[in-house]
Amino acid sequence: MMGRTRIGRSARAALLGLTVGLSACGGREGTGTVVVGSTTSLYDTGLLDTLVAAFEQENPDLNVRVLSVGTGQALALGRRGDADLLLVHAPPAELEFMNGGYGRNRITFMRNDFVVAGPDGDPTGLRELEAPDRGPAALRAIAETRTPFVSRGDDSGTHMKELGIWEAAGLDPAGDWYMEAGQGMGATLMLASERRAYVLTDRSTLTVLSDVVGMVELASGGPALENLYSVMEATAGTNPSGAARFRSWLLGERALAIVRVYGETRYGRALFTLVPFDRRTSTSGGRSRLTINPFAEAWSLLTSADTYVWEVVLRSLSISGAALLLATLIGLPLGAFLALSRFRLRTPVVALVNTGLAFPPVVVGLAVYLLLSRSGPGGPLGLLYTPSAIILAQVILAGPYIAAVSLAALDGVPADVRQQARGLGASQWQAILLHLREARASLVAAVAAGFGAVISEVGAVMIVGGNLLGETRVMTTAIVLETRRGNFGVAIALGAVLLTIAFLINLGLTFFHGRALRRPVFT
Amino acid sequence: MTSHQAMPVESIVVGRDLRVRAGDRLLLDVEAVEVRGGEVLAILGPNGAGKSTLLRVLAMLQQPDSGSVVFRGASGRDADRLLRRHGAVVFQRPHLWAGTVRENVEIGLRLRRQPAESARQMAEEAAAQLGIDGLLERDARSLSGGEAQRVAIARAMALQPDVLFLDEPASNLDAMARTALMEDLDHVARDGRHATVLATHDRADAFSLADRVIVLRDGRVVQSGKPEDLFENPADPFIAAVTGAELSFRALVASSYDGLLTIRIGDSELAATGSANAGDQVRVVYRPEDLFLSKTEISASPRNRFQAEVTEIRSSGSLLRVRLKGTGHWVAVITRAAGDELSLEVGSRIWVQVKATALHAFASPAS
Repeated sequence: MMGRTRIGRSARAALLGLTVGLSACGGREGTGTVVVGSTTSLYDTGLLDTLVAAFEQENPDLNVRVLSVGTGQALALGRRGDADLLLVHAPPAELEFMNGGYGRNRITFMRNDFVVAGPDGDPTGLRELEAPDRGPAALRAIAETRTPFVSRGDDSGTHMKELGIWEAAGLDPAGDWYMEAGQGMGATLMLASERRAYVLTDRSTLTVLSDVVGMVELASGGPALENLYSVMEATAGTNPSGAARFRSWLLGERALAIVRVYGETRYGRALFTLVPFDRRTSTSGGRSRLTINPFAEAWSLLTSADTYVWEVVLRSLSISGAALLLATLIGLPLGAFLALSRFRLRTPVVALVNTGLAFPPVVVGLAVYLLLSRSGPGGPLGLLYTPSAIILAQVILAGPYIAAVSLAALDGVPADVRQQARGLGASQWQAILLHLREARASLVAAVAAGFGAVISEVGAVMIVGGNLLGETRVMTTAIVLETRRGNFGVAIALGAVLLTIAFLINLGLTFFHGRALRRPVFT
Repeated sequence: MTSHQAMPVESIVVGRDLRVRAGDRLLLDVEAVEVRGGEVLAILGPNGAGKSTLLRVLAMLQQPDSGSVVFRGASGRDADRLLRRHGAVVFQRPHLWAGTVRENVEIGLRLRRQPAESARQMAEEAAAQLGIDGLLERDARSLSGGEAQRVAIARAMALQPDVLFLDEPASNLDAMARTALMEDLDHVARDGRHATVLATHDRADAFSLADRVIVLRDGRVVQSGKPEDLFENPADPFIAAVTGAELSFRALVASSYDGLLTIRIGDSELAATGSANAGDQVRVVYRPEDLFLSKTEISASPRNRFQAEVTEIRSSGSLLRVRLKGTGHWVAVITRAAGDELSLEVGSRIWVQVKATALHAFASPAS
């Protein structure tokens, strides 16, 4: 990896160690790659891809790589030099960024607006609100009626905007009705749709996803809901000349022509409008370095009994523990039954169970999502985005795993062991127990490995759990979120706990195995 | 003959019309078989004859496709329950459970919910009987094949069963371990307290232990009776080959001490093993591969050493089958290479050595 000199050594280790896909770029200066940290709305609407394609066509020597992460994370990328150019929409945070010397040549060049969206029924009656500034008025109405509201909760531009509006309305939202998704705009919209909750969204994402998620615009207009997009160069970036070239191009005729009409044919109206040039702001480029040592921060979080970290850890353990218990109650008897009995359809059933070993977690997540979503067969249960949904997904992942490994373990015991036990007077049940006893080390290993698999799983948990703060946010999803937010200390603390759990499981297994099977098996 | 012949000949296990199929093939087709209290019944036959299947069916570890097994007058589930309680089975490849030898010897007693103290005592007695009392605290998985088989027999004996089933207990062992084990089994089988069913392909084992022998061939009983009957009146050449009638001879016991016999053939005396008394007529069986041939007289451990004349040499593959005359008639099997080295030919004189433990004598009333 070259061209990564400005990132703190420890932060880089954290990135590598925690396998977050942010560090997927290498050798940027040499190959003419510009890394763009972008808010998700520009990417999710397809606009940025269209712009990048047009730019690369005109500039074949430059390669643009887009990291669509949300404004807060994009700024964090820029601060660390992991991005060269930023496309963001949170003016207060941008100004702070500029004042810190992290950026230069900021210009606000396009806009649309935020809207408060919700289920079509509009239970709080936002449509009827009479107020000049609809944003604070709508949120106040929601808070007063304690109607469910889903916040992005991910330091994105939209999240910052939402917090700004609450502040403008003089409210501090808290309570059962206020949920934090910790996910992107699309996922948050889906979550809100399932929970029949309100949400603050940028208009473009709502326009694109409206039909899919069944959410409608209920309140819009007024200064508080203005959504301004800016472009700026990151001073810590490693390809300043490439960044400057792409920035100039974005402000040029061709790009502006694309933006002006983008979305018209598909959605009947343009998703973004252009901002006049008089709103330009710029600063000189000071250079800054990451000053906080994330490991020291992680250590202090772990030793100071930080509520957030330990709450997430305990929730992970209880959710995965419950899932493991159920998976064991299902998988172990199933594996034992398949190992001990012979029936006509045994072979296909065994093949099916073994296929369970190879279930891709995200596919399981998708299946459980479809099952539990409001339009799915399990919709009436209302389990999506609850710990129960995570437990269900983890049981589906770990159950066949435990069954398949138990089956293999029991098959590994000499075939006539039960007959030999019977030959010494064992009843049928005693014979089965004596068979299980011979494989007990492997059975324990199967269960422990099942636990390791579910507690470290992220894809399915994110899809069916929704990463809701205080409800379904577990260690893995929290690590993803906190890493994206740039909160490496929290991410490292959680990662360390996860690694420790994995280590303890393996230590226990090695110890147990060593005791149970310290000598070769006599046959 | 042996002491338990005097016991009442009550049948404790009776099998009727037993058939076991594998697809179209009939693995077992036995009209009637019975095990009498206190006797040693050997099921003898070549590999694949159905010996183990018959043994497992009689032990009610395998359900026959048709037919019935009655144990002490009970059948079905009752018989199964009783047999589990009063029977014990030793397998060719015993499975020792993870744990110590003591745990393995006690396992059957624990399954029967025997109180710990008496289980401990019964296990220790059985272990002592099989000479493994020194191994009780060892890890069961660390034993040699011979030791493991002793543990398997001890844990069966610890149950003090009414009927003991032995499925080829020695065939998995090397020659030394096998000889020692069969000697111990002889004591175990003949303590008169229980019946023994022994499945074996080894006629020497069968005839040296059994009161009665069933010869199986392709799943059917081709002949059954006392060992002597099978020798004297083999029903067909197959039986003669299985019993190895040509590999036995009659002799008179000159003296007997602790299982070691001095037997007389004509004017010569040989050392043999077996349970018989001085003055008894015995039949002596041996394996032709247990004869050692040499050109000159060599001083070695075998107790029997005599000169003989080669009367016939037949080759079969890489082996030579050599008939000898001298202190009775003998058959030896040696490798072709050994034959070349000895420059064997019909009429040449040769030294023969055979260990006392390779000559198995069993009582045989004079005909």
